[in-house]
Amino acid sequence: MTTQWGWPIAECFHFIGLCLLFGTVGFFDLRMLGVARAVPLRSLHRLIPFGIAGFAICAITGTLFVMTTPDQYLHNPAFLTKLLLMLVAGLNMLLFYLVAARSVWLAAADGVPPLPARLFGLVSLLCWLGVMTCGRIITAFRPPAFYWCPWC
Amino acid sequence: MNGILVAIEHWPPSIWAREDEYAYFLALIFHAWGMALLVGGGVVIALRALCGGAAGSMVGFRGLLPVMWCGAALAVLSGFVLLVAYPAKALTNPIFAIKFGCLVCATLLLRRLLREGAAPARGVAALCLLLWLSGVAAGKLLLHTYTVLTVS
Repeated sequence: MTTQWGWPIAECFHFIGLCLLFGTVGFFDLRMLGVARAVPLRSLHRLIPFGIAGFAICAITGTLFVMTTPDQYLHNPAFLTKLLLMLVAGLNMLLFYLVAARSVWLAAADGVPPLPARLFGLVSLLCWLGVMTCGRIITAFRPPAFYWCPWC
Repeated sequence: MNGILVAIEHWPPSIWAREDEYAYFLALIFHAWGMALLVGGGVVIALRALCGGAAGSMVGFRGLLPVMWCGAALAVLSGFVLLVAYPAKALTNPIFAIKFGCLVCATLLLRRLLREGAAPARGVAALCLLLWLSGVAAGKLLLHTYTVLTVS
């Protein structure tokens, strides 16, 4: 990671993983909210394994970033907020499959899922947009130039 | 060429984009959101075509195009702010042209994948996916490969 191309290559893979994750999960969330109703929900759901692969890529490369320069991340509130949002997104996904997924599959192919399912979609979408935003904030306001953490 | 780039750097909007506390940073966040919507949609369509999109099954996916257009508009507007802030840094870097080339070619292939009646060719879908992800990776590499920085 400390070689000339180690960090840039890891960043490229991190963003490729994010594209796979947001493309599949984010667009499934948008579809649940009623966007692009001509797209069958099941067709989009079949692509979720690619999103999981994208998350795995992000997790591996993200771990490499933190291990290489831990002080830039562990004392950075944007990073901690990013982790929290990922946790919320994960719990939201778990609850979606436990509580609301069945109602989504029962809905008409070109229909809008019931309100609880749409709320799960909204929470998921906001969480992943927040994760992306926090990722940008991490790089823009790094310690020690910015010590803006209220609790670190 | 250098004279033009220097003139842009002394243009008041360029100075504002560089020196305002939030302008550049907000443009980065909006660029990430815009690219996520644009490339995310492209990735979904390419993956769907790659994973068994039959003849006629891709037409519904045209519903994702308005979302991708919104993402493209956001990415272009925010990208313009980023470009105006540091024109020499971007326009003297060949990776910048590669990024644009990848995204334009991916868009052209996307139109072919969404053509009515025809079954999408897997080779075209794979190439389209590769181009979307290469465009994102090239965008990330811009940060690490510039050789000219006339303002800071």
